[in-house]
Amino acid sequence: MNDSLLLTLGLRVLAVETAMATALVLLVMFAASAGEWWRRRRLRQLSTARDVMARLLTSETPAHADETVLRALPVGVQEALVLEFGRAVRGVSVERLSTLGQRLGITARAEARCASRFWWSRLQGARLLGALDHDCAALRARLNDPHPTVRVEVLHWAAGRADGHVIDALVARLVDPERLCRFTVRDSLLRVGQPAAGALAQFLARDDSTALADALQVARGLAQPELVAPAIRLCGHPEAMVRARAVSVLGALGGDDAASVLLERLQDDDASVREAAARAIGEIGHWGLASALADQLGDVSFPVRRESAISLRRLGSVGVLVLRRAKQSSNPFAADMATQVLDLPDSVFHRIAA
Amino acid sequence: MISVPSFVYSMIFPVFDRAIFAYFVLLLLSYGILVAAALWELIGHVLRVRGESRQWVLGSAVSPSISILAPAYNEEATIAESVTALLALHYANLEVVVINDGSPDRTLEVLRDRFALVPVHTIVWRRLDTKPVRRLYRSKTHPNLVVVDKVNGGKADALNVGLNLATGDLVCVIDADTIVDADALPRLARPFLADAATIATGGMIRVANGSQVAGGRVLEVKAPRNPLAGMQVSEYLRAFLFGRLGWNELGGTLIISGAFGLFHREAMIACGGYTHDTVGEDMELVLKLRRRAYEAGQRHRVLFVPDAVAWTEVPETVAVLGRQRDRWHRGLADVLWRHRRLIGNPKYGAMGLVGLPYFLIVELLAPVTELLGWVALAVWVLMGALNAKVALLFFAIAYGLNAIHGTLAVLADELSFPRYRRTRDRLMVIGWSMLETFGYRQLTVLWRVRGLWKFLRGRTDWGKMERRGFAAPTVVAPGATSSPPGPTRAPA
Repeated sequence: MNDSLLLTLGLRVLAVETAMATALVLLVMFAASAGEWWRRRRLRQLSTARDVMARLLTSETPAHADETVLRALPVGVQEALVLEFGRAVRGVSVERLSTLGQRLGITARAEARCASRFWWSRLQGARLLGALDHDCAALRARLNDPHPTVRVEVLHWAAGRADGHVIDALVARLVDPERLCRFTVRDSLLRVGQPAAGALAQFLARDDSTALADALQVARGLAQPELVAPAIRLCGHPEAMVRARAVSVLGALGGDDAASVLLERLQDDDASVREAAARAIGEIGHWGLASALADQLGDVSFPVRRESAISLRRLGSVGVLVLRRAKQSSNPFAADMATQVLDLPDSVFHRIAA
Repeated sequence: MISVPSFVYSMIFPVFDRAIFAYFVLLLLSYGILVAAALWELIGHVLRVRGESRQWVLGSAVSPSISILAPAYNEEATIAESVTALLALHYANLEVVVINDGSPDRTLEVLRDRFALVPVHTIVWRRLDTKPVRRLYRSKTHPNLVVVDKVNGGKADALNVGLNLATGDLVCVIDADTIVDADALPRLARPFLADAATIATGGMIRVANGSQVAGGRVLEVKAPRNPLAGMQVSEYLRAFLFGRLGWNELGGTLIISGAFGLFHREAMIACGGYTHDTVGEDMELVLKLRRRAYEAGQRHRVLFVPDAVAWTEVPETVAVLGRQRDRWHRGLADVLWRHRRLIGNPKYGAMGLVGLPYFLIVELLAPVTELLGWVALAVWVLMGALNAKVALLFFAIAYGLNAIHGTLAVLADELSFPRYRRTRDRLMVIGWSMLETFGYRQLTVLWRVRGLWKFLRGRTDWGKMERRGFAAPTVVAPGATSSPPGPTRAPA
């Protein structure tokens, strides 16, 4: 290629580059200035609107003028306010927010958004309806939304709806293909609380259920009596993780049946199950099993020894006595662990044992 | 003008010309693909997380527990403030493990006094082999704080001790002087909740020089006035927003900065923790994690999270920056050499076929090729083999591309998770990015080539790092624990 052609080509490339660089710099400045202007404007609007909204949500007889002020705000600001207040208010204020949302037309718009073909629009619709504590078919249908981010939002909202249909849908979602959805389902079921126990017990009792470890984690948090029987049954499950979680459910529930199963599980082949059993014995406070825990202080697994020592201290004076004796043990592992756990400051021990 | 034999004109010049030109095109193509992939990923990420409430993740009983490992060496001036800030991070189930790596100063005494530490019987589950632990402490006032005093063994050894002690499902690795944004942990943990295959996530490291810092938090973000620090702001933005984020879409990143990363604890222990005898221990760990996953046939993900932010102080003197870059490049060379069998190996999927060849050809060899290019350009012009105007034009084109790359990074930052509030700061960052090509870039090329040369000669020392500190001056001695934010591998 000769020099003149190179020069011509090069100059053209340079001209394009210069134009692009200049455009980008201008774009940065425009984006920054527009963003800053928008943020300031939004802040100004929000600061006034927040006072108005707070008055509307706390007053038994809301002033018409306040509502007119909100109505005059841009839709984006109205929605931002709803999302902000929806996360912060409880009780009667939620009902007032919900009514206000309907009067301002935010609810209707959000319902329409739930049917959008764009997932981010459906997501915003679900967020708004969740903040407004609104229940409708459009939102319930999103429990099966094809996009996981939207499902997560609706599954989170479902925690505030303890009716049979929603609970069944939540339990069914324990096997959701998306992990974030499964995480949200567990969180939501825990927040639903006692009403979810029946459906969960049925799920655990079925032979074809998968995601048993996740379901047992919820069962432990719910700690309802109807979950004892399925948990005891699952203590014999072939999967070690399921056995460990089932044992921890028994730790949260207690009872004589549980104690005998826990004693048996202290001899499990898998260290994680023995660890969970040792912890569970401390949780149910069964001091009759202190000697079994003392034996576990010499277990080959470090976590089992640690949990056994912590559980012994948790048992109170009987356990502490066993630990003090273990300090003189001929087994150095048992002696070391007993010494360390007895050394722990109370605040640390309570955190570990919690 | 130097006289040149005719065969040089006819045979050597054209071959060399084409080789350099082909490399230039390869470089452009790879950056173009990385930028496109990064922008695509950034848009998706912004849509997913903007407006998302993190409260339910924070407060949930089923959230994974996190242990923060903070290695410290001679940090007496800042350690109390740093640990207080870590304990105040927004995450419910959090444990902070501070590893005093045999500091000869008062680091341990400061911790003991400030956090009411009491010694407990020292037994540690030694799943990883480390230098001996001298003493283990628990705090009466902060039950989630663990402090361990150990014999000096370097950063990797300190982190391995922390791994032996940590009880969290996930382990967050930071430098003791890194400032972590209060809400960065739930953001960094999100990919672990979203996909069980996630084994590591890395956060965005931003430059804190020039910003207002107090109480272990960055209060007001400002662009640095020091030219070296300013140019590093632009370099970090490019390296993280494009260099790291782009890899999320192209088979997973290979580097998680040692200054701020979150890992699956069991996966870390299973691959043997950090390697002691390398200066690129952060990249080495990620490669080991991924290599093990590939060999076990496990699906795995290593992701960069652009909105999880930690702040660091970057070097402001030529000498310190030179040592840092030299070390980073030695680390890169060392890690690639250790895992040379993986390069181009289809058994290791995208990592073997795309990631590692990219790091070898584009990242490791880029400074050598660039240096050769500069030398050749000078020789060509001296020999009269190249028109000075063409040479100048070539330089201008390369400069223009760099300016576009830098400005695009600032724009992506501005449109996604902007931190600068003042127009002046944005202009300063763009300005530093424009000035990079004049001197700074050539210096980094020389430092990286020096690093490569030292690697070939078998040098493995860290070099002395000096930090001004946010609160007071700190000196980090050779073999030190506290390190800069790992190999950023800023693109050209």
